[in-house]
Amino acid sequence: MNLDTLDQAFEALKTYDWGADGSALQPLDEAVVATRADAAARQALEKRLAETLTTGISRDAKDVVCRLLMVIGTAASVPALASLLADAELAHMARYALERIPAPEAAAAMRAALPQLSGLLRVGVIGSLGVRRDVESVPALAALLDDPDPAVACAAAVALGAIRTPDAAAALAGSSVSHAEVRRATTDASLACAESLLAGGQRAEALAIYRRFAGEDQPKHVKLAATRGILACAGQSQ
Amino acid sequence: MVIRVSLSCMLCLISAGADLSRPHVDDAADSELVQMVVTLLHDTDKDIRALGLEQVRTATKGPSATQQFAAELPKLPGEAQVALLSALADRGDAAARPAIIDLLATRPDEPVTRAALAALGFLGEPADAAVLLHWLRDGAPAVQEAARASLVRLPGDAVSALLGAELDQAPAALQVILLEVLTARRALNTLPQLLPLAVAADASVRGAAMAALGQLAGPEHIPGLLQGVLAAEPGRERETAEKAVLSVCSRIADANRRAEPVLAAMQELSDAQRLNVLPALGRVGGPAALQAIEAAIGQAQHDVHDAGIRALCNWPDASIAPRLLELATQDPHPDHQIKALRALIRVAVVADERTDDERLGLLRAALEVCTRDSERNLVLQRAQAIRTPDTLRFLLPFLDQPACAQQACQSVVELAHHRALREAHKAEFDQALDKVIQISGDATLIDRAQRYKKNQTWVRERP
Repeated sequence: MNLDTLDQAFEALKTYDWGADGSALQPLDEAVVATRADAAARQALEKRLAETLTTGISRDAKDVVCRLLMVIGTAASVPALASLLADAELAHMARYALERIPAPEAAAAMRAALPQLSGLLRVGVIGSLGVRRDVESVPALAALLDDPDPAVACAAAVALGAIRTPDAAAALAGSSVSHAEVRRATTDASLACAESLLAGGQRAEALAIYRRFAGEDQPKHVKLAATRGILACAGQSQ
Repeated sequence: MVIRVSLSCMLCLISAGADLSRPHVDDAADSELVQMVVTLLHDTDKDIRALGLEQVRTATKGPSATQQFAAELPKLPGEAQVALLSALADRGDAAARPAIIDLLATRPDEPVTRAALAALGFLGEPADAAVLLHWLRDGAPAVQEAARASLVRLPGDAVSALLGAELDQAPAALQVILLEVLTARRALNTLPQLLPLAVAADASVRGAAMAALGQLAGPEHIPGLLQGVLAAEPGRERETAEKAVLSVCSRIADANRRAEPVLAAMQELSDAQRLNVLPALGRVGGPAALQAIEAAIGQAQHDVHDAGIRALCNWPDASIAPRLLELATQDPHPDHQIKALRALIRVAVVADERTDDERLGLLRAALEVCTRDSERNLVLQRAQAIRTPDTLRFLLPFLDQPACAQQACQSVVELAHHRALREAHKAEFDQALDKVIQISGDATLIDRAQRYKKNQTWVRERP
């Protein structure tokens, strides 16, 4: 890794914007590869990248940095990335990185950001927690199932359906949703949980969910799915 | 509402039944699943029923469950019976067979009968051939078709033997079907029953028997096949019979010995019969056959000479092209000259080890001895098979000859159909296609020419 060219790339990052020559940033990509087996160099690179997120560089430059941190990011990058979660233009790129950084701090930061966010920014973070299948987020997500914003409630249901743990299933079962769209999302998420539970050998828990949705009050497609699930539960005992 | 009832019942079963989460109650759970499936099978909603049918197809293995599913057959309405029969067939467990036989005994509606017969093809045993035969004999056309398909599928030599025995007493139409079934079954053990039918009084039976023998017979059966050739009416039936002989002989690995069984069998025939089977010998080809055929051609007696010419004209490859060219110009009989010429045009383009130039050269040689437009047009038509730019150049002058222009147009367009050839010589083809568009009287041909000029495709309609 040539430090001079890397410095030049960081300099280029300061003025980089839409339509600029991307080759000036190529050393950053090369540095990501070159530091793969050098923890100290990787750490230094991550620190420099994360620091740029707190400067006044352009949105496109921060976009580039988020993509790089998605690859090499650790807990050290989380504060800088989390600071973008309230930024309508950059929140999605921050979540792009935070969804993939293995450190639990990434999920914790998104959970912590939830109360401060609203609308689509909140929906996005909820979705990212679901993508991470973050079991720690189940209580927070459960609380959002009856959020007055249907988009938020739906996103919470979908996220719980992605997490697919018994706790997630219980949270979905415990919700008393009246909004039709949210009810559809919780139903879908519950069936997803049941499928996962059954695959994990928790037949009784899965069966309880399927039975709940095989009732007369359910739409036909839901009954069909639940009936198929009941049959799968019975079949799995063979 | 039946859906509601079914699902409610199912939930009751689940509630009252075994704890499915406990592995030591597998038998009970198995029974629960079967009961659930049975409940679903009775639902009037086909989507709900489909869930049960899916289980019949794939789940709850074992004859006990199969029998329980099959036992529902008589209790279901027709549409559901058809679906369950199909699912049982896919399940592939012969334990369903007795219920299917019982159902057929009730003479159900045609769709149910059809489905039951189809299922028997998968689940039946040789003894069921008699049932299938009954429906093949007496059923409506769609039922006959189902019985026929299952008779093809039902395994066991005993099935073939039964069908072979039936051949003797069946009416002609049924004989034809049985022959087709036996052919599809590759029922070699029934060849003794098949051979006499090659000389049956009914032409359709003879044709079916010869088709079957062409597929199943060996060289040792050639005498019987030649009797079939002799019994066939001259024309299309005779040609088909001769091709059956060719099929059998083609399975002899050594190409030079393929005619031997025919020549040996001919020794047992009368002179007149030998003349009649000589064209079949010509189809087989080979040096020994050529010797016999040339001997016939060399005879002054017209019918013998004629049989020899016809035999040579059936030759399977271009090896006799020089001889055909000679006959086309020197045979004392004009009709034999024409026959030889047409045969030459046929073999000229047969695919073999010759180069395209050699094949086109032979066509050119044939063209030179043509005295009539009908043969010239035949040359132009056969030229389509040689897909080279030289063929296009060969065809071009004929676009200006009114008697041949339409066939030349056809052949140019057929050549242009092949994109790789057309695109590699686009300028030449465009020019030729322009000419076709200008002079052709065939709207389809003009459309094709226009499409090919624009590099568009054209899909040939299937007959």
